[in-house]
Amino acid sequence: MKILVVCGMGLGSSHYLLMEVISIIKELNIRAEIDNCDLFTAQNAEADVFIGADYIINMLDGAGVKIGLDDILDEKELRDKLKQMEV
Amino acid sequence: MILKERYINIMKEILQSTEKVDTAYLKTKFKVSERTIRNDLKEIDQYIQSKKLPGLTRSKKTGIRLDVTDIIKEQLLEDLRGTDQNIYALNSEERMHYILLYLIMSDEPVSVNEIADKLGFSKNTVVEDVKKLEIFLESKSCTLTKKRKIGMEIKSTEFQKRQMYIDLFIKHFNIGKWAIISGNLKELGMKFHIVIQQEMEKLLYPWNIKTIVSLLEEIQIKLKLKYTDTSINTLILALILSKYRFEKNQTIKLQRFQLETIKLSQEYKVLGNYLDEHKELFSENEHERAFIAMYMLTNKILEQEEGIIFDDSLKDLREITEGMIAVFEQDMGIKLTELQKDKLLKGLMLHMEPAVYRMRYNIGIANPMLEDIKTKYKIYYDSASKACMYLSQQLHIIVPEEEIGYIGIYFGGIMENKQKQRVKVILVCNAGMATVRILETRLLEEFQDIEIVDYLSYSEFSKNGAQNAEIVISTVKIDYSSKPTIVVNPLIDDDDVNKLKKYFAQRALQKTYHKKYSADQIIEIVEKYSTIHAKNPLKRELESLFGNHGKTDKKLSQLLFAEHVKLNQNANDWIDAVKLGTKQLIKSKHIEQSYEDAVIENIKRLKAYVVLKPYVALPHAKPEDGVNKLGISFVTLKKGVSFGHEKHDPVRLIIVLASENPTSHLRALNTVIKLIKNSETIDRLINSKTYSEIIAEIKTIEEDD
Repeated sequence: MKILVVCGMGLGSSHYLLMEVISIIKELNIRAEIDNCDLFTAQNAEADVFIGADYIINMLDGAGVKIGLDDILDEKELRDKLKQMEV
Repeated sequence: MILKERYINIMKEILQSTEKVDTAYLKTKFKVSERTIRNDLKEIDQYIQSKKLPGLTRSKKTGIRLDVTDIIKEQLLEDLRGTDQNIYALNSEERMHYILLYLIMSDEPVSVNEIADKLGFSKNTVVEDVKKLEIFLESKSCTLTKKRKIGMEIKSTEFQKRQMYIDLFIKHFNIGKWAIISGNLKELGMKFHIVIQQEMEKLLYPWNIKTIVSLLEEIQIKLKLKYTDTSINTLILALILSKYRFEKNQTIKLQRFQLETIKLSQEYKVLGNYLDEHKELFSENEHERAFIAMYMLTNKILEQEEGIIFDDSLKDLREITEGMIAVFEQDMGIKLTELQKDKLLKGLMLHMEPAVYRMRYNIGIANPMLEDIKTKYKIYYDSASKACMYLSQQLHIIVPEEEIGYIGIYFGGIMENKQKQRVKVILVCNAGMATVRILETRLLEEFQDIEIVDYLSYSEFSKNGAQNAEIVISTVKIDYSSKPTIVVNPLIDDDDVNKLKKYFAQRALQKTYHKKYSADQIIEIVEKYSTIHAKNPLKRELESLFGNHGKTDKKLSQLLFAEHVKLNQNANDWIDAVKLGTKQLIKSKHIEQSYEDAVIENIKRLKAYVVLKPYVALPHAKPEDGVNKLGISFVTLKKGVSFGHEKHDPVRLIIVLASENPTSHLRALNTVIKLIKNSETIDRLINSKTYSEIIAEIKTIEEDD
C-alpha cells in the first residue's frame, strides 16, 4: 500500500504529518510505503491513500482513498481516521 | 663541541628508539646514576640548541623527545655518524650488521676473538651480538655454524650473501653521500667505521667509480630508461662485488629457470655489448652476467619511455596493471577520471616491471614506510592488498607486504590528489578591481588548489548568490548561510591564511569521511534488517545530513531573532498580517520580495492551507521562490483576521517560514508544531508582550527534546 501525505507546499505541515502517520501505522501494524509531497505533485501521483488537511484533500481529483483532516495536528483524529480506513 | 660517547648513544636512543625513553630507561641502559643521566641530558640539550633547534621536551607520558621533523633527525644522526669513530660507539644493531659484513667477506671460519680484535669490540659484546645475528640470519633463511676452536661461518648461497652484503653496505655507507661521488673515494676524506673503511679499501678504492657511472649512463640510454640514484649506487656495488667475488672463486650459481628467463631480457643482452670493452669489470661467466642483469631488472626506475617492455612474459603487464586499478576503484567505491587513471597507470607501470622481477626472483625490497602505510593509510593498504591478490593470480607470484605497501602509496597518492581537486571560490570585494587582483594573486600563491570562478561586488553578490562556487571569500562582512563564507582582509594577513587553511583541512577530512557512503548504500543496509516506511523522505534527510558535513540544523531559538518578532500588531486583513511577517525577513535579506509575492499568491490559490490550528497560520512558499537563508518570523495580532478557513479563523498568530532547502528547517519546524499543538501554549504566545517571553516558551519545548 502506498500512502501519500499532501500539503500545500510540501515543505512544512506535510513533513510533520508524515512523521505522525509513520508512527501511527507502525502502531496499527499496517504495512505501507509512505511519502510526502505538495498538492500539485499529488494531483499527478498514484497512491492508494492520500492524507492531508481536508480543504487540500478536497481539491484532489482522481483515484484513491482520501483522508481529510480537520486539524492536522490532532493525533486522535488522525488515528481514528487511519483505523477506519478501508482500502 | 665534542660529544662524549655516552652522549651520542643517549641521543641516538632519543632519536631512534621506538620505546618510551625516560631517565629511568637511560639509567638502566647505560648503567650510570640518574644524576649522570641528567647532566648528560643538559649537555645534549645545549648541543642541540647550538644547532638552532628546539631543545628536548620531557613529559611523563611520552618521555624525553626531540620534536623535529624526520629529515632533521636524519641529519642529526648523520652528524653523529660522521663524528670521529673514536668517540662514536655503535648500537647493537649496527655492531651486528658490521659483524655480518665481516663474516660474509671472510672465506674461512672466524673466531670471536678475531672479530673482537679486528672490529674493536669487547669479547663479551661480540658473543651477545652473535646471538642477535643468529636470529637475523634465520629470518633470511641462512644459518651460522659455530665450531669450537675453529670459529663461525655463514651457511648460505653466494646469492644470499651478496644480497645481504649489498643491502647492509648501502644502508651503512650512507648512500646519500655516494650520489655526489664522482671520482676518487680516497680524496673524499670522510671518516667511516673501521669495518666500512676496510670494505671500501678492499672493494671500492681500486676502482674509478666515474668510469662505472658513465658506463651505466650508456646502458640506461640503450635501455631507454633512467634509474634512481639509489639504484645506480646499488648497481655499482653489484658490479664491483660480482667481479671481486668471482676472482675469489666465489661464483654465483643461479637456478636454471632464473638463468634462462634472465637471459631473455633486454638487460642481459645489452650487457653483452660491453663484455669485451670492459674486461676489467665483467667476468665471462653467464651466471655473473645474469646476476648483474637481475639487479638491473629489479631496481627502481625513475622514468622509462612508454611501451618499452622487452620481456614477452610481461607483455600483459599493462592489462594486469589496469586490472589492479579497476580492483582499487571498485574497492574504494570511486570512479577515477580518465586523466587520473592515466596518471596512476603511468606511475604504476614504471614501478610494476621491476617489482614483478623482484617478486619473481625473490629479491626483497626494503620499505621504510611500511608501518606508516599500514596504520595511517590503512584503507589504501587494504585496497592494494586486494589489487595485489589479483596480480598474484595473474602472474603466479607471491607479493610480499613491502611490495603491497608501495602499491598502496601509488593508490594513496592519486586519492590524495583527487581530494585536492580544485575548490571553486567566489571572491566578493567592494574595493574595486585592483584590490581583487591583489587578493587573487595572494590567494593563488598560498593555495594551489583553488579556482576563482568569479569576482562580485557586494550588491551583485546579494543579487546572485554563489551559485557555481563551493565557498565565498569576501572582504566585507556578509550574511549568507547556504555556502561557507570566510571574511578576509583585502591584503590577506597571516590570520586569514590560517583561517582558510583550517577550512581546507577540515574540508579534506570531511571528504575522506563521507567519501565511501551514499544515502542509497545506508538505506540498502537498513532495509536488510528493518522495514523503512518512508524511503524517499529518509533518503532526502540523509543526503541533507551528508551535504551539511555532519552539521546539525539550527534550533528555533537560534533562528528567531528579536527583529523578526512583532507582537500585538494591527492588521486590516490577512495580506496585511502576512506582510508584517515577511517584511522583516526581506529587511534582513533572508528572503527576496519574490518570496512574499509567492506566499500571498499561494494563499489566494490554495485558500487557507496555511492555517493549521485555530488562531494559527504558518505562511510559507518554496525554497526556489526567493530564499537566501533559513529564516522565521513571529507576528501576533491585537485583533484576529480571517484567512477564509471555515473552522480555524480568526488568526492571531502568524509564523512565516522561509527555508533555503527542503530539510534544513525541519528541526525548527518540529518545535513550532509542538508549540502550536497545545491551545494553552497558543494562548500564552498570543498574549506575550516581549520577545523574551516568546523565546522562553520556545526553550521550554526545546529542552524536552
